[in-house]
Amino acid sequence: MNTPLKIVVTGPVGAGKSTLIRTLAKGGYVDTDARATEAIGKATTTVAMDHAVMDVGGTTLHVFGTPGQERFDYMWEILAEGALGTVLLARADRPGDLPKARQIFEFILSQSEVPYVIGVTHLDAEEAWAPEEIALFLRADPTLAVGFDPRDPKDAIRPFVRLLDALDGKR
Amino acid sequence: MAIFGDLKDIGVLDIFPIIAPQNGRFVVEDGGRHLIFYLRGGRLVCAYVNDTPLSPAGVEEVFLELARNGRGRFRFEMNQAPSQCNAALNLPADELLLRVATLKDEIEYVEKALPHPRAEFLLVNPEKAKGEPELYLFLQHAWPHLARGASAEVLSREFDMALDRVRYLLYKARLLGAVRLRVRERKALETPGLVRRMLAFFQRRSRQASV
Repeated sequence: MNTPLKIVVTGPVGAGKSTLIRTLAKGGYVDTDARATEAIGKATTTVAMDHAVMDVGGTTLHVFGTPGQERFDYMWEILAEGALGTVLLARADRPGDLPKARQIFEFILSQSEVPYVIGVTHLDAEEAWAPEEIALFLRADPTLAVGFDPRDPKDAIRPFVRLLDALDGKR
Repeated sequence: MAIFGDLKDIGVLDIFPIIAPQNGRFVVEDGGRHLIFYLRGGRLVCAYVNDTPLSPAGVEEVFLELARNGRGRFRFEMNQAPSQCNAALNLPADELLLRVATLKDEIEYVEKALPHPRAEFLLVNPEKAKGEPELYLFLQHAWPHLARGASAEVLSREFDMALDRVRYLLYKARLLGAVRLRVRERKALETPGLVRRMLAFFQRRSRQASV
């Protein structure tokens, strides 16, 4: 029997974590959204985790999404234990959220050995940073930054493909 | 009549200048902590956290914490003098307030750029911080920890300093090139065959989605 694998999706509030996991799950999806009690720019937010299970060529892949609010930072550590990799999401159209994305990114870099990619969302906005520009701000390897639309089933797998490519040794 | 309230409504930097010239004790119930500050003639004569006396540096840290995240009920009890002062401070209250207010402003100005409390840093070249005496002193104290990698959270606990102050010091040290982020090696995957199988699956799914 294959050992189940795990990928963790993280990032600031509103980066598209829940959307991405919903798209990947095709219905087999658990969310823990609750009505937001503070002004975070949306009506509901994830308070524990999002979770989707996929059968990937006979191997079970669990995809977990962490809550984006700061007080739930500890969830990343719990969810990332034994993970295959992390997808850090950042919004291309909200430069104000990038310092928070960098905080999360640096925390990941210094606290764990889990490989990562950076998924950049909302690239279709009128004004948007390019994925490489976001990587520059995060002081990250630009080859690991991937732009994608988390609502589009075809596009939603791009960060996962890039993560697997990186795990396979491709730059 | 008494001066009382909650620090979330009236910040410590607002209330303290009013009570500082008087004689008495300022009591704050801050979560699980019981803070007492004895004042006499504009000077802070002694201070306690849960009956433990505070050092001058400790007072500044506690005030910074209260100024930054202040919550909790406070009251000022006039003419209450300490029966004894285990560790006399005799700090001018206005100077303390000015230092804390300045530090609070500096931290808030760069707040978003401060490192994650648990991001770990390594000492690279402390000499680069020589022009900043407070920072240089901090790096000298923190050297054994920073030599192997330490986060603001760990250093704050170790030196009994406000977490945000340590984050601010690490931010400044990093700007000067005195410390750098400790980046762990990414783990090499032991099952490349599995990765290729998963890649093939995703690529197949991508093709199906585009049809």
